[in-house]
Amino acid sequence: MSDDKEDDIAAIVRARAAGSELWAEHAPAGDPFAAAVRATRMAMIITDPHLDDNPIVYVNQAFCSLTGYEESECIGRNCRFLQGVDTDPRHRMQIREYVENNQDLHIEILNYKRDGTPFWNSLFVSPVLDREGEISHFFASQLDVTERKEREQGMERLASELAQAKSMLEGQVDDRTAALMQTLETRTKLLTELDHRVKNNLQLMISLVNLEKRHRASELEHEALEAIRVRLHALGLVHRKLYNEDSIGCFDVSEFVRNIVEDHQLQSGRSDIRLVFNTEPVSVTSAKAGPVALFVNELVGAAMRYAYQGRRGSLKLGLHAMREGGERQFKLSIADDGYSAREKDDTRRSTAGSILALLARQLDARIDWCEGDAHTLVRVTMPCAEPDHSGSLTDLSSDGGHVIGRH
Amino acid sequence: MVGTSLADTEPTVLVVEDETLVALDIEIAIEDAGMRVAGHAIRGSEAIALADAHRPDLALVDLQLLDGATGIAVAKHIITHGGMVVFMTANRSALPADLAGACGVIGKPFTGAGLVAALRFLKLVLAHQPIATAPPQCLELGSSCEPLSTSDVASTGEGPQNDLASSKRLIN
Repeated sequence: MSDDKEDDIAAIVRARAAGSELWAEHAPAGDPFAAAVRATRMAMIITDPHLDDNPIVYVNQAFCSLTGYEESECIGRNCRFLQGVDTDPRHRMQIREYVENNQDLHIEILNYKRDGTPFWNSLFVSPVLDREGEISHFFASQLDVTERKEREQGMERLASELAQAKSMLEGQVDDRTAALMQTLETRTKLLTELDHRVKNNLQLMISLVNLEKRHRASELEHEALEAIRVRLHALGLVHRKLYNEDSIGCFDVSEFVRNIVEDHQLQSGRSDIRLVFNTEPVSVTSAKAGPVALFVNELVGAAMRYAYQGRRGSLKLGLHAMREGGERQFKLSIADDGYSAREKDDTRRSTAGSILALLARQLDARIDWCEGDAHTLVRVTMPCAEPDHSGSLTDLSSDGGHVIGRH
Repeated sequence: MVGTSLADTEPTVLVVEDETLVALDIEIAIEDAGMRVAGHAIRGSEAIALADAHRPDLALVDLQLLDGATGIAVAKHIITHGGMVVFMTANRSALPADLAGACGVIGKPFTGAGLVAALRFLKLVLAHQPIATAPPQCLELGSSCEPLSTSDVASTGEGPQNDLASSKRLIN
């Protein structure tokens, strides 16, 4: 023990002697460089690598002010006494490595003052060469950058907190989106299911009427049931179209009109009537789809039945959108090469006071029987939807092409 | 309502439909179209048994049956064994894009006349008759059922049902 102590004292003495020698050699009175080192506010030390463990041989006043150590407490010690519990071992290794290799080094390392206060030390270490180019000393300067370092660490903490908050929020958004998608999926399923049921029930009704018809013998009964069947079918056709396409909320009248006319022809066996379609995409809101379908159905049914009495002919169906008085409307017309007065009259009279007239009121439709014009049977004008879903409607009508296959 | 007198050579059709009233309506349409009803199943299991027993030329299959959504499985079974299938459903969106290999779909609700027209068209397909007209609007054909061209009848042959069908080519 006492030997060690004696060794320590001897080392201090040697370091002191080396420091004094250095001072005497380089800093005679009036040397401005020495004066600068002594008086600068930058903490500086000099160590002697020729002595055991490269001890400090000189500290300036600023070093003492920074660390709180007296000069006498520093001389003869390796400057690692500034390190403490939280000093990063990688930083220590780095210093040792650079010093052993005689390299310049700048590092920021956690050091401790005499009273135990930690501080961030921006440390410069640089070897000092003598005239022969040999390393004679090491010079080191220290700057307290605790404030900046803490600010940086604060920023890092803040950034990581922000990142955490962000990822938490993103997680919440994802969860919410997933929940909404789930709801949407459920609702879509529900809608599909409902649509499916409506169509199945309409099918059931149509089949019921069909079966009933077979058990009825009289022409009158047949006619009555057939009239109901056709109307149910028109409604069925609407439901088949209504939710099948992307254009939910809209109903394409042009495709429906074609289908209903073709159906009536099929049903009445009037293949001698040539169908000519001149239609453009026209849509009405889904809410109006049913009444519009029934309306068109009545009109076409009456035309098929009364306007081509005992003759072949062509049924030219026109459907056009237009704007009248700022309101969007569509015009539906049925024409031929020439109707007899009786055909026109019979057709008109068959619809008087009928479902057609009632629906016309509801739909705000104007029916013009075009008296005096033998070529046009009837012309109907009614309000329709703005073409804001025109994209999907175009898709729909072009899609329908290969399915229907009759253009 | 009664079809042709060549009852033995009329194509046979299996009706797979859980609504018995609708099924009856379909059966009448089958006869009106000059075809013969091979049987009526209201369950998937029943449909498969009937199909195996009678080997119908055509099966009209609803998706939702009394024992659940077994229509597609029924269709696949029948197609695998060389039969032709047309779905009849109000739930078109439940079908896969390739219609599970089926020849086509008839959307519900259908009308008697529409169904008869569709069946007449399918009868021509079964008989390998060249078809000049497009399918009726209520019948949507699947990709596996290209309408026959007048020039190349053999190109659609893809199973035993065609041999069966070609033996009945005289029917129209």
